[in-house]
Amino acid sequence: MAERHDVLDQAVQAILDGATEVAIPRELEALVAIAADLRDLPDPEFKRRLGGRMTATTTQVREVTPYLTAEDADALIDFVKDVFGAEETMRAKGGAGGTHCELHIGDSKLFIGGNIPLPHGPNLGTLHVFVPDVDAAYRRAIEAGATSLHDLTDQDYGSREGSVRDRWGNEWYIATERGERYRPKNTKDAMPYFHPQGAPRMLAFLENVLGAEVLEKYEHEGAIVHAKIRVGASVVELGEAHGQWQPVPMMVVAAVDDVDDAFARAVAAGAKELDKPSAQPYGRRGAVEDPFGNQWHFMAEK
Amino acid sequence: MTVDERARFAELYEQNFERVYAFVARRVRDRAEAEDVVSDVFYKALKGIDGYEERGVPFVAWLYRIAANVLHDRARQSGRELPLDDCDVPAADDDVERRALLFRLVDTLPPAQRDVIVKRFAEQRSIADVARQLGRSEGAVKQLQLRAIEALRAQVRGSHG
Repeated sequence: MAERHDVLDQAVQAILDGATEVAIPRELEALVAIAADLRDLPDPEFKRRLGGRMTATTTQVREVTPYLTAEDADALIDFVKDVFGAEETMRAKGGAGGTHCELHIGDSKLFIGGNIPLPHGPNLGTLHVFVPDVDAAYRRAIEAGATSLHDLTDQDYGSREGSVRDRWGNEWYIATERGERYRPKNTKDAMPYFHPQGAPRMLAFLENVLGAEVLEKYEHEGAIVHAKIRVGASVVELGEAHGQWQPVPMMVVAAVDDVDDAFARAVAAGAKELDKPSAQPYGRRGAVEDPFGNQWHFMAEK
Repeated sequence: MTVDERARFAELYEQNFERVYAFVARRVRDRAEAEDVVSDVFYKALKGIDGYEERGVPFVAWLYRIAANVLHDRARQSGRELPLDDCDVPAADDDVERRALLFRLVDTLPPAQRDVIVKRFAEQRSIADVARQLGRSEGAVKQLQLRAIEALRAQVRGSHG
């Protein structure tokens, strides 16, 4: 006759394998019920890591949001809505007549501004967007005037993806994860993708200034090919510039608890001062340009 | 956030992590998604902590509300339908509380038993794998697993009178 610990373990294994019906002797029923609840036991290492992030660095930065501008911003807003199903949460006119619009692509924010002359040119961006139906989104982008950079392809690493450049010059990597979930672990629905020259230095800048944390990093011959980086509640991506993927400096709004602290850290890490921290009607604000040409606008709401 | 506020948030995290995890785990497909959602919940909580303090509702109820919203948004974005009650906020004394207590009790087990439970369930390792890692026989690991689950059963029953 099988030992009690063997019988219980057979039931445990069946639970871990996802069985819904497990045949068990009556005297072990109460223990198997405990085992069934333990199937969801959180990984203590996950609890420790998340707790560390919550209470150490990320209190400085809450989230980061790319900010695109265009002289015909309304048309760009329509493009993002039509192609990605973005939801507009706010649109306002500024004192100088410009538009500021806030959108959500899934769980991620995107700001678009403009509708005024932009003598220094628009702020462009590169964004990686995960959607449930990549074929439809890609088709809508092309129909809306974007040009293809890469046709949709099934990649070895599990994504089906393609890329386009919209008629304003922004680049969009449009992807879906094959399988049950449309996006992989450690991603958000829309993430700014940086292609700096000197990715390790930019990563160090993000870590030092914004308390960023590397979630995944893939290297080849000493170069960072691709990294997913958590910055506050957001995820940004980064890969060394190469081939046709050259730097497209972005403007990013970083919601922080302490604008002066973030500004001082950025300058200490080699950023150029654009606007010293000052009180604005909507809260405190300061801006820098990092050594890779990206503008960081630090904001703390009132 | 001041040092005091940060310490307070750390305390609230420690007190409520298992509850949020227990709430989320049964409503998602797998462990990776559970961890994604739980991370989102606590980041949103950190972001909105000032708003919470003004409203004066129990912290855990506020966390459940955030979790329900995160789950709802994710389901909507992926075109999935969530059963309506999956987006409901649980009562304080329901199944979630019981499982959260169980998760916390794992930490109070003797170290050898705790190691087996964590490796077997949280890390989902086979008995052979756990035995190899802990330098014990498979029979000994199964014995530790049995004793640990018996101890947890006794403690859960004890805590519910």
